[in-house]
Amino acid sequence: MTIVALPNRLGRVFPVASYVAIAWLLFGLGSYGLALGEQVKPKRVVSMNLCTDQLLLLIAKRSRIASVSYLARDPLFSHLANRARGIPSNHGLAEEILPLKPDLVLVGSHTIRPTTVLLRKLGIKVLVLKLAEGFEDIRRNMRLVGNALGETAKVDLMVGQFDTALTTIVQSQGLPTAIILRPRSMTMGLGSLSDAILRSAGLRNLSAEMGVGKSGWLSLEQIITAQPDLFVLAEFSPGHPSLAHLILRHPALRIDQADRNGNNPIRVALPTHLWNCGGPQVLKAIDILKRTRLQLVKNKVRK
Amino acid sequence: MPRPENSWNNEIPYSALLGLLLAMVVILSALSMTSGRASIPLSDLADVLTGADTPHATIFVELRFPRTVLAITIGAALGLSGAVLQGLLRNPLAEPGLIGVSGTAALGAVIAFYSGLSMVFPFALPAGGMIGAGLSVALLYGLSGRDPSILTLILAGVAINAMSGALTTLALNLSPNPYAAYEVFFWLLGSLADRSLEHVALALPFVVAGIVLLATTSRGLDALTLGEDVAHSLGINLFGLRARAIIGTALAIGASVAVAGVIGFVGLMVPHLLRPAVGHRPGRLLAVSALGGAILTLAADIAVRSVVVGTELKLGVLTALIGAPFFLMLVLKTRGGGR
Repeated sequence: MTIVALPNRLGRVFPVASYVAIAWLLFGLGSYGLALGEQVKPKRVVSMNLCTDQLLLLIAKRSRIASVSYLARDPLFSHLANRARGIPSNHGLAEEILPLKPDLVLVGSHTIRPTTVLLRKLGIKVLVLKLAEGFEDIRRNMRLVGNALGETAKVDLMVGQFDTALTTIVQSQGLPTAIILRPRSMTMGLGSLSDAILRSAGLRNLSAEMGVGKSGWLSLEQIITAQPDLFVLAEFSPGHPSLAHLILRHPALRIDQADRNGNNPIRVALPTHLWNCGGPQVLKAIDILKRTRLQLVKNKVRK
Repeated sequence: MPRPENSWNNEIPYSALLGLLLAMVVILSALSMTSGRASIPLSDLADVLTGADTPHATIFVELRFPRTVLAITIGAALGLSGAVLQGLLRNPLAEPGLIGVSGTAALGAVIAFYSGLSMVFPFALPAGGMIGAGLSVALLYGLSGRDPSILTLILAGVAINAMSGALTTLALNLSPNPYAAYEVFFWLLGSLADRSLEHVALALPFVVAGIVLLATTSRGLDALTLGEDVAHSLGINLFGLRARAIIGTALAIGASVAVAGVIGFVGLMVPHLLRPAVGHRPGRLLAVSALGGAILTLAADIAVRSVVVGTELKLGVLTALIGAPFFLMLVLKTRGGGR
């Protein structure tokens, strides 16, 4: 109403000026729309973090990806390692990024700060993503990357599919108990993505019940006393010796002999790339856990 | 006796002193079996005796027992080797950690572990530690001579520590495990947490053999206080004495470091505190230092378990927190006395 009314009122005093105003308004809107269009479709996108790599590889066409982090090719850590093959990799150094002349750089909130600051100073658009600590974060990050890439519709579809697949099981008494056991007896509790994955698969996360936050540490004595039905392990990284993994082999945990003796907790090894980053791949982790839970329930009934 | 407190201390008969220390080891061992994150009534020890496979029995047998045994033997090895090295080098500042023996033992263990050798052949781990420790004691003896000044000894130790530190970092750089440096940083701080019976089986034979070998140096070290010539004329085989001290230290410290990391300053503090009580006789100092080392290590290991702050405190951090000021005090004292 006001826009229409404005030229009329102006027209009485400055007839020409009103047309100029309309033209200016139209032109201004038009050029803004054009600018939006350009901004929306970056053509040379760089990702510097393993988890932003996953989102970029998932949403963007390969031709628009200028570089991903060197970890994106490692099938142990990277869910979309296949797609990353052949794309130039970077180690998060500004000297590697600048020659690529990127129009959008994706970084995680833990990515080396000086590099981010430098890139911004040079006028490159940098999108900083907080890494996912729950399903809501996954949706948010997918949307943020999708919008920055100008793929809003595609991402809306993906988030919709994600939500359909994600059916939460209501917490009840009889659910099997589990402890996530990572190297150095690290574990994940309340507020972590892993906790959300466990709950969604219908498991009670004992670490969360024992007061562990996003990530924390349980002593072997606490773990043995808690007597979980299930140990959720990160898939052992093969090939190289690791002191941190030795604790998972401590005989007192009975992890190695778990299958033979029905009294002892059974274990499931989740491939690292399914739950180290937030993305639709966590559905596969949930699926593995659900199947393990059914097996556990069956075993209990048999006893 | 120039200092009156020594004459008072000398009034403790040797056998009574030994008995007292032994009693403390027994009491602290019992305490060590009852301390931990899980609170377990002592009555549950019955599970252990009946052989029931309950969680509490598992905690007693497979977590607290290995920990207690390792604290006693590693502590004894540290105290004893400190006393022997101090007697052999006739220098009150000799200690496995300070002079670089623990550092090179760690280097040997790191190479054995990260090369993957110890995965195939478990005994490679203590073997690596022992070879590392042996090389450094021999090198130190060669570098600093038979009767080194405090300065020479400490500088040689600094050099060996720097070298072993650099080589350890190099070995970690070459490891395919991206977290190797991080893991070893924690491991080097020294800890007995979550060690298993396998660790006991791996280290105990060598540590005990080293302790026995070190204990045989008692008479030779007494004679050595009179000077090398007199000791020689008393029928002491100096070459044999040195060889037993070096090999004994290598076995005891090398195997200890391989399973527990670097627990510093025990070998410095214990002999120094007990020396007046045995009338400054290096021979008698050995047995009491072994017991004293066990007491200090057990007590420190109980202390780190009693403080609840997220992940457990590191044993080596605690001994260093007590030991470093002690070392400083000792340096000031020796400097004053040397003039």
